[in-house]
Amino acid sequence: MTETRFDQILKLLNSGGIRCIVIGGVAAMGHGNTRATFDVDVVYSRDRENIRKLADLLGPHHAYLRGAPEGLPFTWDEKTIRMGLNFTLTTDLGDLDLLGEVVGAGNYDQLLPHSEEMVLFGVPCRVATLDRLIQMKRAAGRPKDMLVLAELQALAEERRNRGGGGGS
Amino acid sequence: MELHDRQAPHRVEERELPEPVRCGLEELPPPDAFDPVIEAFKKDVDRTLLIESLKRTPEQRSQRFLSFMGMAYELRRAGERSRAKAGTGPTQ
Repeated sequence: MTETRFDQILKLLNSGGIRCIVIGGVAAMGHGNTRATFDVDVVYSRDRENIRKLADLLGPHHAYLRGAPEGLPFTWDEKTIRMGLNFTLTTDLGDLDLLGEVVGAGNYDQLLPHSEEMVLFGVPCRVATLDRLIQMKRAAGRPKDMLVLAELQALAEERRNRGGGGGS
Repeated sequence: MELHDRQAPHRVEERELPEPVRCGLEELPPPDAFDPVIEAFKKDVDRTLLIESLKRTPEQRSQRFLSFMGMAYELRRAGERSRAKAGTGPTQ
């Protein structure tokens, strides 16, 4: 199993000019949550240029479907990205979930107003606001997310107590 | 006629699919909506960790996170080595 190099993945996406918004455990960590996570989740823009960049950027890093048997006729290219939507990938840099649309947040353009600039691992990133992360977790409705949801809500309460908000 | 001699009844056209937008975002409850189940879970959240974390910048948190994950991966490798030595396979 490849160990995820969180800093390298975000550096790669940033240096490649990929339009994406960090969500999931890494975003929650940026806001102050203390839970471990083993992959990077981003919502990416599905405009043609961004898809082309994603294909070019991740191809050399051997992007492949995580958990799929080896040897499938899977090619990471523009056509594959256009014909799909959400990809859970393994790469040389670790596990990366590229999501075109997520429950509770929609697509990139819909999430953009609910994101903020943040520096993580020395890399400037767009990150979903804490409020939107909470709404996404709630909308997903998975039993395994209950504790995480409770942590995120507690985090939002503590931020409010300190005079900070949860973001839009 | 063998099965593989037959022609496909129709060819699937390769074209871009329309971008779906179906998340019902306008129906999302507010982030601080009360939920008795979540409230029950909240009692077990260690807020001291959150309070300490909030004293740091996102960049400081991310550096601590990297260090923590380095340790987590090291523990996982140790577990894998231990299982290999014991002759048991990887566990899910």
